[in-house]
Amino acid sequence: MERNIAYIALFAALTAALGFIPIITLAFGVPITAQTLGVMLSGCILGSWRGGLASLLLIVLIALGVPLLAGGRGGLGLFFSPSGGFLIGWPIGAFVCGLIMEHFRKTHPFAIGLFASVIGGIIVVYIPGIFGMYLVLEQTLVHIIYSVMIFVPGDLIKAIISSLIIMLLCKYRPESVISRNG
Amino acid sequence: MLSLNSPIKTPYHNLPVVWKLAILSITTIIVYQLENHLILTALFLVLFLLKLIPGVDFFKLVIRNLTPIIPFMVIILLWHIFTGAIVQGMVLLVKFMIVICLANLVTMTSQLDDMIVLIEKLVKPLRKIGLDLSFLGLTFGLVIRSVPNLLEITRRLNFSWRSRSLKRPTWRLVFPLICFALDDADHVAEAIKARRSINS
Repeated sequence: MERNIAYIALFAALTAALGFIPIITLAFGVPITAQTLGVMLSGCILGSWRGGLASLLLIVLIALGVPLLAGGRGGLGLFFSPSGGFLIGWPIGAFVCGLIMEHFRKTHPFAIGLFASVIGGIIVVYIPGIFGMYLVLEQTLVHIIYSVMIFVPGDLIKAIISSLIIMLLCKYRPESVISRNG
Repeated sequence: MLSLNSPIKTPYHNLPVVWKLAILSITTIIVYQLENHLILTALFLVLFLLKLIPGVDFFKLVIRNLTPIIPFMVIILLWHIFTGAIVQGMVLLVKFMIVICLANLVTMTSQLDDMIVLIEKLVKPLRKIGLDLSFLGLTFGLVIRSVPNLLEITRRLNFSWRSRSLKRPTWRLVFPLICFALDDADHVAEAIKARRSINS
């Protein structure tokens, strides 16, 4: 119990800390940050429910007004902006990342880390993100999907970095990758 | 770690958090259904006045907190000008401004402690189905305490990398940072366990 609380809290903090790595704000006001890398890593390392709860804890704190989002942002207003859907997608994405890692424990860590990060950290996060933009921006879905494609190359790089880190952890600290041990 | 709460006390600080959140939810639902320009503009002006009432210093703080959304408002407006739907774009912008400004006002005038107490109250009924979330306050505190700690570690890792290499550290710092977070999590777990055994 205590270990779970500590891991969930520390990975929420780690995801927040990754947001203070320099960011680039692209079209539609949605910034590219290393925080989605934190979401991928939370799920892939901690597993489905711990990873999902770590991201959920972070977005609850952001909603409460703690400036933990990239660039020191926070507050309820963010959830009504075009990036609100992406934030809601974080815990679901981390959960799916963890779920994939838990189901393919024997697969090579780089391969499964990359697969989990792409499915959970990109596709699953983008679905509520696109839906949120669709609701808020009142544009056609096709328009929205085209406009979010600009973020895909950056997120693919983050998925590769996530899988490299998982591979390194499996090699040097295998006991830390809870999703493959728990 | 600071919250986005306003240090300038306003009459809105005295309103219960649950009321403010209820007003925000109801207003959001109504605003997104409205298409009448006059009603939307009137609502926006009311909100503008509500932010002016506590004084100029508070208003300056509001503007500072809203500055990050200005570029994205400009992009939305340019997009609508480009697609020829200027009126639709303006209506959308006013809707955004109302909802985001109101949400921002709730955040600025609600103490973090009160928000945490509200969440703890909301999850209390879950105990009846065997889900004890009494540790929520502790986890919130742990996250808020750990972020500056991790940022300090990142700064030190960055410094030691630069002392050994001319290249920028980029993502390579993430791995040692995670190792530190994992070690710290183990220490924190031991500390919680020790505290619980003392308290019980």
